[in-house]
Amino acid sequence: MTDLVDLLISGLVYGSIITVGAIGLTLMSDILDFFNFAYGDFFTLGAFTTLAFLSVVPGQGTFAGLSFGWSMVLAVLLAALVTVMVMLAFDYLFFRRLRNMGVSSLFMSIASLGVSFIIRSIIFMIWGPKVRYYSSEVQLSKEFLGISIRPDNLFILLSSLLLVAAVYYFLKSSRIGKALRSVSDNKALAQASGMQPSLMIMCTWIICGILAGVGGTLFGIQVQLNPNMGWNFLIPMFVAVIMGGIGSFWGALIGGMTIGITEELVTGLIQNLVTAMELQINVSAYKPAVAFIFVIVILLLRPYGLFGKPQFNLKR
Amino acid sequence: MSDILKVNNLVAGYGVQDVIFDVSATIGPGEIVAIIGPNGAGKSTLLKVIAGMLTPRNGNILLKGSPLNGCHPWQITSRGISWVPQDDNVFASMSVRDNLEMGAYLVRENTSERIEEVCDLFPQLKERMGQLAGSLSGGQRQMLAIARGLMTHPDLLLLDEPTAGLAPNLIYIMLEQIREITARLKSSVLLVTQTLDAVRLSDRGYLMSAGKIRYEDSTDKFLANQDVKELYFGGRVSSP
Repeated sequence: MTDLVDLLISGLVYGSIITVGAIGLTLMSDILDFFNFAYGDFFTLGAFTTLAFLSVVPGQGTFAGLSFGWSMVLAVLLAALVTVMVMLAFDYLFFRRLRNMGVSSLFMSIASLGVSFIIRSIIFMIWGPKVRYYSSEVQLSKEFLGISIRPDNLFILLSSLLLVAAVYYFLKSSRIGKALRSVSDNKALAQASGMQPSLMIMCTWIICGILAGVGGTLFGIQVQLNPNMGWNFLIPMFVAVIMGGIGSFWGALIGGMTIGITEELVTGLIQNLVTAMELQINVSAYKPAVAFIFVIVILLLRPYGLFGKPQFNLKR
Repeated sequence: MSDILKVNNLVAGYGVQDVIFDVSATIGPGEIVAIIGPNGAGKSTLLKVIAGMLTPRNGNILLKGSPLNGCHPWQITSRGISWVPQDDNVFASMSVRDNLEMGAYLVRENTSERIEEVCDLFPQLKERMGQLAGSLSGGQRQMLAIARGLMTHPDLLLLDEPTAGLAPNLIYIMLEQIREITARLKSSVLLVTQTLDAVRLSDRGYLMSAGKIRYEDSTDKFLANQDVKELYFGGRVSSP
């Protein structure tokens, strides 16, 4: 039973990070009209930029049982800002030109693959292939409301929740947020209602940049930092988006949490079984397989996802 | 009286195919002008070109004397033209209120007053402010689409088949409402239609077929014209 609760909590934490990424990815796929394969590497950029700022901002040490201090909050804000600026720069130098040339979504996606290699190479050049950590503190679980959880994980869960709620409130209530939803709903009508496409695109990059900067850092807190972390994380993010339906906020939320919890539960329970059978197999290495199985089942049963629009039918 | 809109020798199309050829038309202040014609005549394309959704290959468009060529749709909207397409004319996943707010995106101030104003014209919308536009009936959706188009108080409202798919009793109500709106907001209306009642509501009519304007006149003369009867109504037009 304790194992199951631990796995569930672990899944919730992992799922919350996937959700942060999936919301950015779904917004981008819907409004910018292409799958951005570089999004995972923007996650990595956010994580490493936070690492860089952590050593220069005040508030080092630890706080409230966390493995890091207040410096993390300041560092993550600066990292989000840098991620947004880098994203806008790539859009200005690269994607904007392709858009103006009328390049199709497919080629935009392939171009984003190129951008992902560029970002990853730069991260390799600056930080090298060595695995890094935000903190070398060993952290023990603590009891919160009768549940045993590591304070860092609680921080990840609450931060993700706060970020997702903030994005939801922004999209639901602000003028620009509503305008972005209207573009997502009906691009032609949005233009005819006065929405300026270039402004909407810029707003999308900014929101997605903030999500990548913060989400990357939260992922970095949970796992070790390495230049491939975001690229590998792209798979569960994409699966969450496809599962929820492209362009759906709630879809990304439910998709992200489902993938996170299922991956942890399935691999954890199989690992327990394998260990009981005294077999030497590391089942967690096969975690992405769970996401792939999800994609196959979803594409077969509901190609446009749980909450998606039929025009995003991936079968066509 | 100077024209609100003047279209001169317009040529436009999709891909390599031209759809409208050498189209010229005018709309005066407060005037309701109908364009009728068979399917594929280029009526909706003409509206799209005026709204900036399609770039003309030749000719020019003047709004109150200043050219619109090269303007983006949002610039055209900000200059006083509002386009209500035939299909997908509401933000289906958004509430009625959000749809109306998005209609006033460029205006920013007095949004609540403007929402009240359009609800006076379409009282049915008032009761459904929180309802998703996608869940409205065909008639309510059409009302919302027109109301959204009116939120900027446009000089010119472009309506693409506003009565398409409506029940016969609703068509009459809708046309009455369009007439009332024009009078109250002093907006001009360019109306693409296949409904005879809509032509009767108008001040003038254009007959379009195969991408060209074939005939133009005041409504009375338009409906009495033998060519119009033959070409479009198959000779079945009674006096208005």
